[in-house]
Amino acid sequence: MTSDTTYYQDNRMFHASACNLMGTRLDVVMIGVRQGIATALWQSCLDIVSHLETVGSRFSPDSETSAVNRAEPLSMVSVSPLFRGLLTDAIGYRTLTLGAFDITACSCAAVDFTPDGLSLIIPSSGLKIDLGGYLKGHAVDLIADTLRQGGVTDAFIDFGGSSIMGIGSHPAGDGWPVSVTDPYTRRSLRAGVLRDAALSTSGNTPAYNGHIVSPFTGRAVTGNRLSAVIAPRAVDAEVLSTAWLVADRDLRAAILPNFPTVIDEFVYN
Amino acid sequence: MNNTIQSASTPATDAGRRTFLRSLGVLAGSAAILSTAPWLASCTADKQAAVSGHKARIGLIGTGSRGQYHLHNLKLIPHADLVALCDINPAHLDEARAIYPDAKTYTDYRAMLDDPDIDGVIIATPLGSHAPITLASLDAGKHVFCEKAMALTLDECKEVYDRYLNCDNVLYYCMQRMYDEKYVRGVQLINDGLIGDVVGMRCYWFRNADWRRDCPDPALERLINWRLYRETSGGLMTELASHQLEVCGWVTGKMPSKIMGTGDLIHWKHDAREVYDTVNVIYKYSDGRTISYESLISNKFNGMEDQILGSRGTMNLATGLYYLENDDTRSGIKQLLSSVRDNVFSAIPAAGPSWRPETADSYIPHSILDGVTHVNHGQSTVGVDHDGSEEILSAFCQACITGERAANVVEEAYSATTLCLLGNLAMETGTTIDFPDEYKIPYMKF
Repeated sequence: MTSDTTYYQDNRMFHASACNLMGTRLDVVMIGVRQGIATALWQSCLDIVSHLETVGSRFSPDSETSAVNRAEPLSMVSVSPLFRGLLTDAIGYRTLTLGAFDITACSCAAVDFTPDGLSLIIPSSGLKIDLGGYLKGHAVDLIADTLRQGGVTDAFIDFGGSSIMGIGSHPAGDGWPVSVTDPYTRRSLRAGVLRDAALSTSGNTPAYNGHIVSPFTGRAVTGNRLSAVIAPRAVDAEVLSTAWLVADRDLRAAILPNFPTVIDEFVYN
Repeated sequence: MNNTIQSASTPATDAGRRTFLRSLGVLAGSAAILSTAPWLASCTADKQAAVSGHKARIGLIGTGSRGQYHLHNLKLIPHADLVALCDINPAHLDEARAIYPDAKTYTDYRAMLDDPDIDGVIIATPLGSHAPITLASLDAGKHVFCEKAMALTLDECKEVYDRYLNCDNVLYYCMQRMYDEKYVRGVQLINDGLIGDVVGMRCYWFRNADWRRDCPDPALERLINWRLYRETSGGLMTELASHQLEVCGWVTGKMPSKIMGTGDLIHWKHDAREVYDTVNVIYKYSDGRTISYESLISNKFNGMEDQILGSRGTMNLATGLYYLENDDTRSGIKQLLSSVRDNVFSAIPAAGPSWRPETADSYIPHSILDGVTHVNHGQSTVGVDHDGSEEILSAFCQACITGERAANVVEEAYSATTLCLLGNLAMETGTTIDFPDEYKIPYMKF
């Protein structure tokens, strides 16, 4: 992981970025913050995300997720309290989305712990976990909490280009204006403003297609399909934008009441 | 002109073809596109209108997997009427008859060619028989659509080419990339200078499969698995490289003058096959540029790509993407930083895609086409949808009605096939081969 920071004195703007974090890039922009404070907050953000990656990212071979995914059927794998908490929370979204968001989508398996909660039981069919969007959304929420607790009132967080959070406002307006573009045509599909809210987009691109697997069919979502969700919590937006790719109109209508804070959502194609 | 009049519906393939032609500007006669792909000149709107209500009467010779692929496509072409089927393999002929129960059937192509009620034939037989059947068909006055490659030997290629020059028949070779929208548009972008000077080409096709077909009777081994034997096949070069080398010629408008290479049986060597399972061939142009060609069938990690390297960018024609060396596309975060510094309240674009692993380099993929791009990953040994095969077959059926030849199709097939065969020769002899004068044709620029 490499990290770069720049401080724009005239605008009192701090920009930091890190590559190869959870398999993608993280950018944080803070406005109206002294450089020293911003630098310290950025380091805290990196520590939080790095820790989450160590535990939950499938891109990290040493993570607990990778250990589970490598485990033999009917074996048991020790889990940390943090990982157990992440899994439990993520599994809860399977219920809230009526099955449309499933961290075991590739194996559609049950996630069971031993009675003491210290180990995960690998089912006979094996277990493949992908915390994916859930983990990224969770990281964005933790970063936002960190910045707010550090006194930052205006900031923008961009994790991988598809999970972004606007805190407070852009210096020139109210909130943070964003738009969703079609990765195939680069046309703008929808515009909105993030005021203490997160936008998550999910879908295929010409170069990265078929990576989202439907829990209902076991098949990858293909073609130029895209979804976007704006919600106060990034993890909710991430979960729903993923679910929206595999859920039809009726199912989306049935799921939406379980997420009463959602501000905007749409599906393209 | 054939004058059978039918009420013409607009099945999927024809509708798709018109969409493809319209989006390229062919229907409107776009000079830029017709300069890039002159063979599409026969596909303008007025020429298509001229065949409305007419049907080309088609006979298919070779009803194996590729032949049946064409049969299914023919059903979707309103100006085509499949009237005859021919094969020496009764099992394949039965399968084809199930698709077209009303077609006449033959076991000898010569008997089929005697049928005056056939306008054109599709030849989907093993490579070793392409030339003799093509020559017999042209001599019988039939229009011909032949699978690639053109022929098994250089002499056969030249004989077919010379015969074509001395007759009036239509002759097509199924070099479907010439009718694939992303290739046509991609080559146009190259011609427009998008990636700068073309400094080299890198084409590859990787599969991991033994290339065998199930053979119920050992006596049929060489008929069913003809691709594996040199008396009927040029191996990976004629079966795969022919498409890709055609693209290189299309892009450069030139022919390489020197050929060198190495090939061997590395992995699938425990049966009686004779063709290489691994080939590496370098084609060198007189100006020093090269085509680096590689194919093997024991590892599919790299898939298939036709990569044109330019001084300002790279065009990956097979996947429909291009990359620029100095990309001025501004990421969302760069726009945001600028908007704060400039005190402008403008929307920041989200990237759109889901979370994806970051690659080592920061090249940004750009789509050649707007909208959905159909990508052939190169693993099917029969054919895929939307790779240009439907379009070129439809164009041939139209030509069977109008008698109009498509510009450059035969010349492109001849050029590509000679390069394939010379590649095989270079590998077999271990020598660097100069393109032989006796096989040069006026179309070739060295």
